[in-house]
Amino acid sequence: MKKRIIALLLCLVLMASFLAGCGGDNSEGGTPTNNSSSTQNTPAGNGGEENKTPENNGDTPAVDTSEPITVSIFQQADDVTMDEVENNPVTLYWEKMFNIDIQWQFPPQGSEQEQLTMMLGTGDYTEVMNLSFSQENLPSLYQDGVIWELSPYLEQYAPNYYAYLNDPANADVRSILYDDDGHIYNMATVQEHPMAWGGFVYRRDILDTMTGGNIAFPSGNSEPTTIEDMDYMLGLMKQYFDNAGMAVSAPLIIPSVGYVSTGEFLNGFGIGALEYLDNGTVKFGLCEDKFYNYLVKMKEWFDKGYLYADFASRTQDMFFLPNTELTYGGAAGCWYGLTANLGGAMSIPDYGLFMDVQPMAAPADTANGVDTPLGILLDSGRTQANSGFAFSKACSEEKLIRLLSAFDWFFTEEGAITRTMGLSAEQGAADYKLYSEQGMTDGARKNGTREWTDFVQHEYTDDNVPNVDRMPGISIQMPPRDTQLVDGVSYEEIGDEVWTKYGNANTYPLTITLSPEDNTRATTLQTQITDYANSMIVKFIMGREELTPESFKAYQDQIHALGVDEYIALKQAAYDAFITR
Amino acid sequence: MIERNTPSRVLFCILNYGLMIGFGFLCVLPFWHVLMCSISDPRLLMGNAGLVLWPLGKPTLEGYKLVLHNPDIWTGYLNTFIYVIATAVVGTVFTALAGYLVSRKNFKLAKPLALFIMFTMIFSGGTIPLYMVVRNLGMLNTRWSIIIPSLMNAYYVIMMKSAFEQISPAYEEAARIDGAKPLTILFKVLLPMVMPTMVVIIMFTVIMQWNSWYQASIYLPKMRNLWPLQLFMREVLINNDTSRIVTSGSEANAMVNMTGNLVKYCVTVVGTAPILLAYPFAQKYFVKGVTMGGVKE
Repeated sequence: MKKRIIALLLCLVLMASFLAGCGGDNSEGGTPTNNSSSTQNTPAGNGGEENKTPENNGDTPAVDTSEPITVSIFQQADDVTMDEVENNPVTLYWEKMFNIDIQWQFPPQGSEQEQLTMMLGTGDYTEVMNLSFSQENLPSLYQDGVIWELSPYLEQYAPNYYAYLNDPANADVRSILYDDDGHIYNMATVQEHPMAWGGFVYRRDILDTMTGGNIAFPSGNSEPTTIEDMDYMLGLMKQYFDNAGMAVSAPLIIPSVGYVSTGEFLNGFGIGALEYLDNGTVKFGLCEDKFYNYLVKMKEWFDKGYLYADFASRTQDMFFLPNTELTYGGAAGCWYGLTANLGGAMSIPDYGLFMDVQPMAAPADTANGVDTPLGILLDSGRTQANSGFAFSKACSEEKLIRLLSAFDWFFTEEGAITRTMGLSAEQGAADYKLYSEQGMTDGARKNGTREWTDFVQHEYTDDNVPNVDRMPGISIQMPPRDTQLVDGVSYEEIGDEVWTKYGNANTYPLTITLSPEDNTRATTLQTQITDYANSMIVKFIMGREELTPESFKAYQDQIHALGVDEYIALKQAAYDAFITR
Repeated sequence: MIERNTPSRVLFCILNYGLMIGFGFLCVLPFWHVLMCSISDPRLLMGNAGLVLWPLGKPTLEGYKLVLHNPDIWTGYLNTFIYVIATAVVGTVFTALAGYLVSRKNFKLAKPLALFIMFTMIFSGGTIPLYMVVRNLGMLNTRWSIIIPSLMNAYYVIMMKSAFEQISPAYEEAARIDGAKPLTILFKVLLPMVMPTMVVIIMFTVIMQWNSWYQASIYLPKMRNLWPLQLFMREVLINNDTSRIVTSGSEANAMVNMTGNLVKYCVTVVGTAPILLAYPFAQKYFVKGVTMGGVKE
């Protein structure tokens, strides 16, 4: 009898747990569907007649902040501890200013997308969502009734954000954030002046050692600027490594696919890698005629031992951090590096390793008539389509207006400086735990300026000063602190100057988004084209496939057969729509 | 029988022991490598290729200091111990009960129930339905969301079923004649006889729960103070992954976190050492426990 009772109980428990998933409040599980219909009635919805759009009388109505509100925010985890998030002085100051209490929901790092999928799948949205890490299409989320469309509200409730977007100087930002229908779905995070963080670097100390300080580039310049200069430089580097008797060394490291996919270095040959712009026309670098010149040169360097022999096998290396055993071990001469590599930052004096790493701009293929490289660089843009915060339908319209007004402060000069550099003494910095614990009782910056306090400028050693870099608003260009200088030099600025020497006029903006259908098609085409091209490029460079004008023509034909023209057409249409926004 | 040390026997022993020692060395080598890396100079580690058999540069405990000074690690340890003990103790009792039930030949529902349990091994609702079940039972953001779904494992129930089926019915009959009730028969007569299987299930449960982070990442979004150790560890690993530069690509000052490279190794040691130390104590039960369920009378 007892066995039956136990069995019955087990069955009931199992059944109950199955049924539990079927019930639930409609307001939870059914939210996306229900909201979909409610979307039609929202000010931004398609039902324009029922529009509750606030009257536009040109004045900015004062938003009543006397009543405290609580807002839940789904925020991408940062490389800061929870203590630093909950006690962040800038956030606390902002919350106090606008009478808002934030309840953060931080997904575990690495699980952001899963948590977001779970929220979207179950309707358990937070009121505000940071979607900057995700590939979610904001117009689709709006059409599904998940988020608000903000254009009816911005002029009145977020006047600074609105003015910023409508400033002709910020047309690039506007093009990214608005869709083709003139809708906008997020309060973005905008970089005032994004600096290049990586590009090609070379070991100047090797050249000094090999020439006794009398480096004589064929171009007559003091740094490598042409492919002939590279020939000269790589030859010296090869000799240096051979003389040192290093078992494995690499005068030049290139990515495993045989080229930098962002187009850097290839721009010296007058082309990009994948899609790039030529006077507003989209082209595909890997099938351009000039790509042949690149392949010929790479093959020549490979045969001479200038290229890293095992480059093709390093598929796991990131292009900006190639084989660290070689670069950090002192056995590489030239590679795609980072700001953090520049100067003597990679030296280990205790072990007799001194490295002088310098940035270099793209070398021009003058022998083939390219006098000036194309303006192509890794440009992430000043903002991204999904950056900043979107507001879910869990947020009431009243609360939305309060929040827009509050976040708008980060688009004022004072707000932007505060969000990026932190609080001043006058803003009450001493009242906040994170500042007082770190000795910043005078605040992080001087009031009303973009200058650090003396303590932060000269003594503060942490990588970052507590700020709210993930919040919407303008991320201003911060002055370098002493700890960010190498031998008193700001290599961040030097690197940016060199790597952006030729500008980015030929870069196909990374921030251009295609419609979901076009995106799927373009991704499919790109995958099949690059799968073929990458395998052939490596074979050409390593000599496993004969490289002649005829074989290259066959390669080009195959790329066309794989649909590169359709791919270019899709990208061209997206670009044309982008620039007309 | 006394074995003579013939030349062939000596040769066999040398080869045999040599092979075993070599194999053992290969098993230990990855752990040794991680251990040595964790106390190496981070800058030298960055430029090193291949195995690290001795610390590179001057040995340093800098990485361990960073890891162990992180209060999350201790919170994680505490939570993990709670989850491990709860699921190992209660889960094993539940598994034994279920295994006992479905192994009884005179119980009419045994077969359908066993099929029902096996069905869940093959088909599952998926993550979102499971999440909705947990949410609608009110367990979201509570410890129960980690403990309760982990209490029953269909595979372990089948293991227990097989173990019980191997015991001769005579034992149960004898106990019943002596006046024992079903629960007495189960806990005092049969369970001691399937102890190796029980230990294996406990160990499997402990290891699985020790390494578990996914459930917590889904069910505890607002309760960081309830996260298990492995979820914190995962964060530390991701935080110190050099590929993170991509995510902060708009920041010009793209740093290479060399200490972070060291921390990765330290976290691996801190996260695996306790379970590795516990493993040998249960070793003797393993082979017997896993194989005994597979033999029928």
